[in-house]
Amino acid sequence: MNLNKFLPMAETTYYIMLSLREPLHGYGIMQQVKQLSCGSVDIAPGTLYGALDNLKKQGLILLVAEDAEKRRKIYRLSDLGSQVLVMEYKRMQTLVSVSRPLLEGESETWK
Amino acid sequence: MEMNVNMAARMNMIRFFWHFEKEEAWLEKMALEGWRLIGVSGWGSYTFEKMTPQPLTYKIDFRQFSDPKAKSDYLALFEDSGWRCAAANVGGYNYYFYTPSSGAPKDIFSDEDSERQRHQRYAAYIGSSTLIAFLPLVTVFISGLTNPPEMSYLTPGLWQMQGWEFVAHFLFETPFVIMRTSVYWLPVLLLLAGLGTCLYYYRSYKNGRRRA
Repeated sequence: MNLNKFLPMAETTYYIMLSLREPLHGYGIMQQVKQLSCGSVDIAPGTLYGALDNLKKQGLILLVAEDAEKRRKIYRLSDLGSQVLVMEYKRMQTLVSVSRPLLEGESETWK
Repeated sequence: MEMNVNMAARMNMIRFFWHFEKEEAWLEKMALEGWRLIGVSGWGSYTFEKMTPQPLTYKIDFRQFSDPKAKSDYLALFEDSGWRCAAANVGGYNYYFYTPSSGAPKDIFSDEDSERQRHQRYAAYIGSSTLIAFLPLVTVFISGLTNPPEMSYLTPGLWQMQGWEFVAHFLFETPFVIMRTSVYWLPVLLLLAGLGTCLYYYRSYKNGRRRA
């Protein structure tokens, strides 16, 4: 399968997948994303629900369990999801390493 | 608009809205006047209960669920993040959420794409239900079970009449012809209205956020 069709990822999607290396339910994902992004990414419930729905359809995340009350679904990354997440990470890493010598020299921009 | 207040401090109102935003703004105004939404029907009827006037933020989402578990997971996610579901209408799949308004403005969508997709889901629902409703009718038309000439002017010799005699008979029968042929034009009118509504919401999906 050509995994490039999943890339590049929206910032929100990347954060959701990054937090789903551990099994989490919806609200757990919201909190984890907020923490990982130091408060800068605060996903609203309608947006998160739609994003999880899409990721599930694409097979990037899996439903693994339900919580004790049997109300909340718990998700985690699928094997495909883990591969795609690492590919996206490497893609961004390449961008960063290409850009670093070009941009970090221009000291004015960095102040 | 109809209004009747009963002993349990409840009130029913009938309203129709084209924009989710206008509907939300109206519910927020009702909250400031001390009325909390407790129920909606698919046909524009809203039930309110008396409460202490307070600022609430209302947001409406449109969703259809294939299984009840998906729905409880969805509602739990909203409750966990501080939204309460005031009502969900039976036929229309609209979910009405509210939260106390304080501090920064709150929303159930945190990006424009997901907010616009609400219109896309709504357009798909209206479009598909309109078409499904018209499938049996199309079958009836195609199979020739109805006979259009029998539904038009039936006065014997009408088209041979002259002058005022013709005008009088023609005008007299016209309302009956309109009623008889409504079998044809009423469904067509409803079909056009359904498809028009579908197109309207599809355009708001394409064109992005439209603030009232």
